[in-house]
Amino acid sequence: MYKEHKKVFFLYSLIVLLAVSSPCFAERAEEELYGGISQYCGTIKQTLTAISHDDSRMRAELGAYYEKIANNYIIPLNARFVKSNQPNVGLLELQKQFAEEREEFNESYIEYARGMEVLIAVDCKKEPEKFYGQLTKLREARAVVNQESREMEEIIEKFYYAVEELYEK
Amino acid sequence: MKNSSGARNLAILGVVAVVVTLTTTLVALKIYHDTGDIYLDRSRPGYLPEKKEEDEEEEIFEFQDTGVITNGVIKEYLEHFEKEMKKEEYFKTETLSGEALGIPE
Repeated sequence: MYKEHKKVFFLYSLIVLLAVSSPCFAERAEEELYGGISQYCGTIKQTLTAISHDDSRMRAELGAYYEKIANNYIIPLNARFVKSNQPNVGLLELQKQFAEEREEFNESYIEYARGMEVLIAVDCKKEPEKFYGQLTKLREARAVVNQESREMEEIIEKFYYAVEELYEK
Repeated sequence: MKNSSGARNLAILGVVAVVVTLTTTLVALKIYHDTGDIYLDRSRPGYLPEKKEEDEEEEIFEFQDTGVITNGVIKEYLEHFEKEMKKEEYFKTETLSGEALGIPE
């Protein structure tokens, strides 16, 4: 019975110790994180600037691509169908989705780019907490842009396969 | 007397013209930034294709919006369309990871 009590007491003490010390661990982890940000602020900023520039080029490339797909493929094909008195409702709907999604992509990219500007402007040496908070927001914004670009590609693929179906008929 | 007042007026006109130009330029730049166009503008220096990219011969396919639609036309259309389609991922999330930025997370 004594041994049982001893076991329970030991287990209870361990639980209490873990409960009390876990905030300390979390605090230490945060200190390390902010300390690291502060220490390597210069390098982090350089990397972010390079990423920002790459992102702008990527955006320019994607913009040209979407414009080409719209002006050389989607719109003229639908126009040709309409002029031949054979308007294809499915393809017209995809054209509409393409335009709407492109607008959403542009808006999400603008928000992301603004966030990047704000992040680069933060002095990560003096304000690592603020920097990390802004970085977290920026990661979410980038995930949205990534998702929007995937959705654009899905619509383009849908359009391609819809036309392929017509050809196979 | 007449000449000096004329010269003075001309100087004032010059100054006013410069002030108006600067003001309108600043307003235009602010609008350009606030609307987000600055982030979408593909004509900014650094975002234009490099000369070597321009010099490369590129077959430009332009599908005409008039004409008969035959199987042959659709087939050619699909061949060019498939070549254009990009199959890569853009704005990968790993780019801002702790590892990529050198942050001990």
